[in-house]
Amino acid sequence: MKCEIIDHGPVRVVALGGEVDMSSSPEARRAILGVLSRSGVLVDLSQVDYIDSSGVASLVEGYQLARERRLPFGLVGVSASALMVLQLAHLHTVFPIHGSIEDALADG
Amino acid sequence: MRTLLRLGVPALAPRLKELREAARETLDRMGCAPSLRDGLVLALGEAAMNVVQHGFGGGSAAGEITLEILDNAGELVFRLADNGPRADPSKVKPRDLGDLRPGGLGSHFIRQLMDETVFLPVEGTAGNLLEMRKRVSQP
Repeated sequence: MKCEIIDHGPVRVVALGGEVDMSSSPEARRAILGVLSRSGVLVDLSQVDYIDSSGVASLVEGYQLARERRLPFGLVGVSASALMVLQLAHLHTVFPIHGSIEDALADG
Repeated sequence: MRTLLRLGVPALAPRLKELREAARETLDRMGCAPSLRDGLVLALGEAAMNVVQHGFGGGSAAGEITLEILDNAGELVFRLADNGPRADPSKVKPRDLGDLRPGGLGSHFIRQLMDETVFLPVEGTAGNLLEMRKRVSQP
C-alpha cells in the first residue's frame, strides 16, 4: 500500500494507493488520525485498487473523529473499486465525496 | 464439480493477498466481468480476514487457510477451510448499517456478494469449512 501525506495549501491530503487491507490499514488509520490531530483531512482514494472492511473502518474512524473535533473530512477521486465497497457499506452517501482536491477546496 | 483453484497459505494478514490474487486470476480465466470478479474477491478476502482475526487472534504461522474454487455448471463454489478453533456461526452476523461505527462490515459484504454462505460440517473438534456459492450464468 502507498500512503503519503501531502500538504495541499490549506488542507492536508492522505493519498492512499494499491491495496488497503488488514495488513496495511493500520498505517492508513495512523496517517488519517495523525493528520486530524492538527487539521482537517482529505483522503485521496484515486490510486486504490482494493479496499476491504478494515480500510473502510479507518475511514469511518477518521470521519467520526473529524466530526467530533469539527474539522473538515472528505474523500477525493474515489476509484471504481473503492466506490463499490463504499456503496456496499452504504457509506457513499455518508462521507463527503469530491471529484478532486480542487473541487473539495471549492466546495469548502 | 471441477476444481479451478486450490491454494493454502499461513493464517497471517500479509499472506491473504496471495489468496486474493490467485482468486482474481482464476475468475479472470473463467471470463468473469471485472465488477463481479472484484466483488467476489472482496467477499473471499473478508472471509479469510475473519479467519485470521477471529480464528487465529490476528494471525498465526501455525494456522492454515485453504481456498478452493470449484465450477459447478454455471455456479462458482468457494470453499475456505482452516485449522483454527471451531467458529460459532450464530456469532457471524452482519450488523445494522444504520449504526455508523468502524468494523463489523465483513459479514455484510459477504452476504451481499454471495448467493449462499454456509458452514459445512467438519469432523473432529477443530477446523472450519465455509462454503460460499455464486451463480454466474444460467444453468
